[in-house]
Amino acid sequence: MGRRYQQKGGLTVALEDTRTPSGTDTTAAPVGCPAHVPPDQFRHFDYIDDIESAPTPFDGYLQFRGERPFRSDVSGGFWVLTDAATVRDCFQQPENFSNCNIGLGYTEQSRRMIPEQLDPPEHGKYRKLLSPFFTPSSARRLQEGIRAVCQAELDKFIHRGHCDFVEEFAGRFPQIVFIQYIMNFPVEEMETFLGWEHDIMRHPVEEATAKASAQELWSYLTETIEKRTHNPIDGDMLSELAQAEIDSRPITLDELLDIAWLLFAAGLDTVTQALSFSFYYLAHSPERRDQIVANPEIIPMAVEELLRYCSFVNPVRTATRDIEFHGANIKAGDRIVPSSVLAARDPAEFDRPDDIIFERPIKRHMAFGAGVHRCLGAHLARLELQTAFEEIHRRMPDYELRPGVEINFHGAGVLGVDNLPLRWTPTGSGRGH
Amino acid sequence: MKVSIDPERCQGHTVCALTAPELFTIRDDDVVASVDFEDVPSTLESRARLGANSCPERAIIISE
Repeated sequence: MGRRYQQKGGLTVALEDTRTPSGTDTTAAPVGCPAHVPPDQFRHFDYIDDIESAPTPFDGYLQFRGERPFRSDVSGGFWVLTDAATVRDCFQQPENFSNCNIGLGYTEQSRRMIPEQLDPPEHGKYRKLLSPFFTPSSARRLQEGIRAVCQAELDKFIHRGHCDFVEEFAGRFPQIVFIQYIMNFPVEEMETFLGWEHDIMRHPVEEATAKASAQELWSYLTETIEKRTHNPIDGDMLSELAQAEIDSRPITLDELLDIAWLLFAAGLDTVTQALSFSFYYLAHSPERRDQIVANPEIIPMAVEELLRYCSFVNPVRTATRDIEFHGANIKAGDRIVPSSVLAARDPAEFDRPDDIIFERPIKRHMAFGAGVHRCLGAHLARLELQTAFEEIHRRMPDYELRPGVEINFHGAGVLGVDNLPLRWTPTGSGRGH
Repeated sequence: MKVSIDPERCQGHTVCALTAPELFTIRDDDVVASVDFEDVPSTLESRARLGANSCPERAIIISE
């Protein structure tokens, strides 16, 4: 059962005091079709087991392509939206589809991540405080640091000729950038911070371990925010946020904690997974890998296309009222999954949606969501991905899958790769420009 | 051809600026996209359509 709570799981384990898990008994008989759901739109779809048993986690969703929205009986029931236009409409109607609850595994929460779990107009008050730190130009200012971290991490294993890409690179590089350059935590303690983040977000980790690390991180965040409130650091995000006002009153410590926690929970494992899925597919397709090696100018387009093809976030919304929505008879309180997997592979949205085509002219994917909750970290994530693509294709251009090692995926709302064994011809640790 | 951006719909994805940088830019405040020509030069009309089609929010409006 612990696995079900791993995605964004740190929040769940850290703040479990008043939470009421629902749908925790996976062996229970499916509940009946609710009265408001037509039987032909009722499916048994387990958003964890059906994904983990499919050849790739995307196939777990893609089996429903071409269907109308349907209602699953699992985890207390939820709707799945199955095409790009419907998913976009859902994202763009926060008044009808609230973001108050971001997981299917539990219902009531004592705390909410800010601003992700707020709806307009509350949402905008906090989002605008954070936006200046995550603009395209803010990300660009970090370019040098991002490249230095990327190179230093590659230096640790490039001479060896093999690695587990998730454990040794994808699960460290975005985390270090964030901890060092966004949070301004002391670099001497980097391995401690990385350990906490690993235990909270990575999969699978024992629930007791995840909980202990979440509490350590929570305490550290509390101390750090208090320190920076009283002794602000020039240009530091937490210091500046601590001086902010909401509705003409000072922002509270609790609000700052709920913001900081969101950044850890939403922003780190997602870049890890974007890197891991991208290199999973590139390692399976040497001709595309070679295309990047021969023509690095294509990297921004390759990153966008792989973001589309590997769209792995399937968020949750909650209906605020009864609504007939693209053929779904939704009742107030119903939970809805606007599936970015199904949106990304919708043939009405993209020609040849199951092919990876870097030169694809139309790139309107929703890997970062859409509407008011569009991923705040998208520009930073893109730059990290582009930098990793540049460095890896330059320094280990013949990487491939290491045979004989089984690759595991995990399901739930955020799909992920557990391990990715790669090998390449060792070239020494020189950075060879 | 005229092109405009619905500021309520634009969420700053920047895909238009990536796709057709000669027409679309992200302003200094970086929050929403803007378009450099209200009246699109005829040589850039196909680029304008491409940029509009690339918007994940469908926030770019073209009128001819």
